[in-house]
Amino acid sequence: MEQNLMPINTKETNTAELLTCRVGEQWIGFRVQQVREVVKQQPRTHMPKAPDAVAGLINLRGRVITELEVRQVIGLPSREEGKSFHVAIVETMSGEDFGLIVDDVGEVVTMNADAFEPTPQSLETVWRQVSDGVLKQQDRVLVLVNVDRFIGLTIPNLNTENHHEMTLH
Amino acid sequence: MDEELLGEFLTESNENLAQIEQQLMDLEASPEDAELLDAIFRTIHTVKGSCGFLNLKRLEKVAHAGENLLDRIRQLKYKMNEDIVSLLLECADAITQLLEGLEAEGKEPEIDHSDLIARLHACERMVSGEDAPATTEDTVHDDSTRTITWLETFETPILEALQAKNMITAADVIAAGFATLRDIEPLTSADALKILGIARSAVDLPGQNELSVEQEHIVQDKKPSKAPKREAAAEVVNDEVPTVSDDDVKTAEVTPEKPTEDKKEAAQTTIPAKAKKPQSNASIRVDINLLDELMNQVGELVLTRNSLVQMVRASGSMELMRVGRDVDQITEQLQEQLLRTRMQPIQTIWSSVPRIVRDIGKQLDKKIKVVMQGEDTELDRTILNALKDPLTHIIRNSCDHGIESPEERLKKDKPAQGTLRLSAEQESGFISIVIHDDGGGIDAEIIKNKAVKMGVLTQDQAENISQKAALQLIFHAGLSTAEKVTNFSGRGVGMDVVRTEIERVGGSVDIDSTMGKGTTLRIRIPLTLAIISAMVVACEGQRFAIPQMSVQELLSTPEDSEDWRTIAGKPFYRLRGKLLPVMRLKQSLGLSHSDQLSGSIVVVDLGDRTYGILVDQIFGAEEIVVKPLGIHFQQLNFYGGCSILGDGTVIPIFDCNGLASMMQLSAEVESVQHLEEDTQVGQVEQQEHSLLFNQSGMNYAIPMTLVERLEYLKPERIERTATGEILQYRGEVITVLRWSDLLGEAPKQHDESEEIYCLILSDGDPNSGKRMCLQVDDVEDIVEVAMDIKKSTDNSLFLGTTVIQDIATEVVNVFEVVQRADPEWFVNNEQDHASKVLFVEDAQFFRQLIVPVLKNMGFVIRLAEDGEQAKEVLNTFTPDLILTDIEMPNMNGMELATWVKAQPAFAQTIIVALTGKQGFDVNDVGNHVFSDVLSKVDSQNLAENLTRILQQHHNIQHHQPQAYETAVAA
Repeated sequence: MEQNLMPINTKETNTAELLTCRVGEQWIGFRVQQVREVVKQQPRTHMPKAPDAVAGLINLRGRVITELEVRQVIGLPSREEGKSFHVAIVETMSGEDFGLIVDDVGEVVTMNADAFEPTPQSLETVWRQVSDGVLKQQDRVLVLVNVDRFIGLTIPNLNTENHHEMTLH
Repeated sequence: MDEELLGEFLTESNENLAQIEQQLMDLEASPEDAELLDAIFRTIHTVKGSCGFLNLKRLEKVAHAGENLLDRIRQLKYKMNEDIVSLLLECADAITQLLEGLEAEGKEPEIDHSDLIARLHACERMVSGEDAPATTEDTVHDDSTRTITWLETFETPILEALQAKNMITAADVIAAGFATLRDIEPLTSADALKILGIARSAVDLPGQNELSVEQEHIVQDKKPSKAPKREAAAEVVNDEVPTVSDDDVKTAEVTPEKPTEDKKEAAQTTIPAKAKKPQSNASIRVDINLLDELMNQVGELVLTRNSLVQMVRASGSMELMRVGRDVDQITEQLQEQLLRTRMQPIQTIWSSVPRIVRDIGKQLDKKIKVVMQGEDTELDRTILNALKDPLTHIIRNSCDHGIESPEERLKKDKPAQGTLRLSAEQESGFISIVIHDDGGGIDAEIIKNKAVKMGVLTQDQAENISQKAALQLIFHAGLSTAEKVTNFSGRGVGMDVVRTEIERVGGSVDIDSTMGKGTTLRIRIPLTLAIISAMVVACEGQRFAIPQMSVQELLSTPEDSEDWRTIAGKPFYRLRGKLLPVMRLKQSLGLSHSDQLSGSIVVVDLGDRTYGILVDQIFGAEEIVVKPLGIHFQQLNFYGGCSILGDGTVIPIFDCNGLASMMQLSAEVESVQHLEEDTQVGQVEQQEHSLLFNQSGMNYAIPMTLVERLEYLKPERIERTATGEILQYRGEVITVLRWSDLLGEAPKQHDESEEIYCLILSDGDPNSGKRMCLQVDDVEDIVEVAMDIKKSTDNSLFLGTTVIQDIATEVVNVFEVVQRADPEWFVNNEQDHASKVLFVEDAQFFRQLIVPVLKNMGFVIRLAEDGEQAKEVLNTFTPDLILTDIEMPNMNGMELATWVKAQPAFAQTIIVALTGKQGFDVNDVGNHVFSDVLSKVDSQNLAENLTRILQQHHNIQHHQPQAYETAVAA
């Protein structure tokens, strides 16, 4: 997983801001530039036969957005019925926007170059796949999530034989 | 460079060049047509002339070479041939190419056409022969002697107007300038431009001018006809042109520069008067992305309108409603008109067809004529773009493999020239495009064989599949990509791609072909993609949209409907005599595992296949805006997109082709076969003789299976005894039942003299000799009909209700009748042990008919609806006898028998085939897997025959086991 050490250019991220979100007990961070907005629960249309991570489609002011359940991707049990959640609308390199369902949204933190560390090899595979590094804070470890890689994980067959054809667009 | 001039030049040239291709091909067909040749010459000449004026050097060189060649042909009345036409077409292509580049970038693209120019020159030389230079000079002389001949292509009024203004020579015209020219009545600005262009090129000609270019051009004109070094020389000269014509350009630029101001003034004053040519200003160029963006916005507007209308309705305010209605209407019009802006005539993609056909024809030495109909039918540009490649492919195939060589055609008494017919027409919301060739057609047999070889079809499927269904196989990826298929069927390579492409834009395609007569491809495609009409349905509380274009009809189907059939666990619905495969949407989507059959069926017609989608509820049709789905749905081809409903809910839109493949109907054969098989069942198996009789105004039908004779007897022949009524018949005493008694009705009083109808029912077994008499009132007819039972009944006397000759008729259950006469009728007296029988039959009718026979023979019976089910039954059941239908879905009787014979566990099992076909011989059915073949229509003899077969088998088993084994092995 050498490549996971790459994506953060320390200089660039020196001043980068991260939106922190909680999933289960874990705090994760998305680069603020990639987060369009955070919305509350929306009426959602279930899409039969869609990949597991897909929670459904929502109508965001006339745009149809695919919602992805972060808990499902990182292998946490489903959220309790009726428990509130937030949806971070993120944009990807492909231009398609996605809604990432998280349990809670925290503050925006400024990325400190000194606090940043490469992804520890001890992390679970899924974390190592999506992580661009970790940020140790007083009481928690924040995993910086690479949105594009995260989305990639939710698409079946992306990592298999069709890799060259299945580009995010 | 003057933008306006360039724009006009481009529009003008594009228009002309659009025609030139066709004109050249027409000229090829009629080489003597001087007028046509003139027209072509004029076009090229004008282009060349304008080029000089606009300083477009590359374009000028190409056009000039073409013009020279054409001019020479014209002068010498040289007979046009295919090679020259090809060369000229190439020249036209080059010009178009340059114009396109010019239009896109505002300057000439850097394309090297020196090779083409050299060939044009060479051709010109060939046409002129040795005396070429002399001819040139003659022409020149000619030109100079006439007054205004250099403008010969213009109409007389224009020439007169020019003369009136004293503009005789080209130089005069150039001196006058664009604005002056344009203001001369009746010249339009386009005319003015043309005249200027021609004037410019005319002054370039030798012997008629004062400019310094003169010398160079003489060299250029003469050299080609002379030396072997001509090409190099021409290049040198051409390379020099820029420096020389810089002067030209300056003068040229000065001319339009000055009048700009005049022009403005002139424009102000003349605009009202100039309304005579509105076309030039009536259209503007719009960036297509802008249109697309606009389309999206209108899509949003439509959605907002939908929710607004809902809210307004809920408000109940009259005033709001009125405004709401206005918004509604305006939105609708806006949407409609915007859609129209994206529409283009199909001509835009068809225009290249004659050229393609010509080129292929030439390559393959075939003569093919193209006939088009409905070229102005309009389609959304996105769809047009998507159609272009498939269409080209189809046309290539038709020319390449469909239409035969002239010799072959003549042999077949066809005209040497083949015809490729394209037609397009609009049919409520979609466009139907038909491509027909009158070629050799496609041999369905060959396709079938290939399909079997490739494992796409089983041998049995291949035998049962209809010709039309077999033809659809050419769209099958497994078949059409195989190279060998191409060699024999002709159509193949990429036909699956053609289909995929067409389906991608929501269309469908099917093919039909008659050997020796030709092939027809039909494409059905929606008018537009952006906004579609869709049927909104619900399943397990969730809504889905089905594109209206695929929807054929809607059926409401109670669960207990008689029209449901289950074949191999899959539901089918009988619709007008055909079995419609039905997809239980909630099951297929994994929404529920309920196998209930209640709800409504949306019947989807995809052209080559039809199926039903069973849903809980149908809401109705709605106009929806199609939005694309994200990357997570790319693999799910049964989704065509999504939309947002009036209440803001996102709704998935199905792709009916994708749904079909999900229910594994994708192999077109399968579905068609299901339908066909069923048709066969209806026509062959269920066609049987029935006796129609009438009692107290009711109509009854009794299958003739057990009716031995129809007697017409005197009433007193029926005698009353203590146990009931009897009839002495052929030395026997048989029981008499009266139909009226069975129904519990009062018997009709008969005159003593009036004879009565008696049906003698017999089980056909001469040994048991069991017979009975059924007395009925009025026998109407004996007909051969399909016993399609529409409605079942609880009354065991009847099998159900059918419609015969448009009259509802109750079908009598004969077995019940004979059992009423003799409860022990079918109890076999000498059966020492109960034989175990597996009865495999897909048609419910025959199961109902034959099971009682078997039951009454005392068999232990297991039932299966097809071979697959039978195999399952055989896991736990070892029958003495397997009685199987031959034609069945999934696994037919033949396959089943072959499989059974291969299992050691069933070595002792006899397999008897039942067939609906008459006169079937056991030897007709291959491999001796069947011990016997019996007719199920003739169930009269069924019991007898089965007894005989079991008896024989019993004997063989006991006395000649070896022989039996051998017989089986053979």
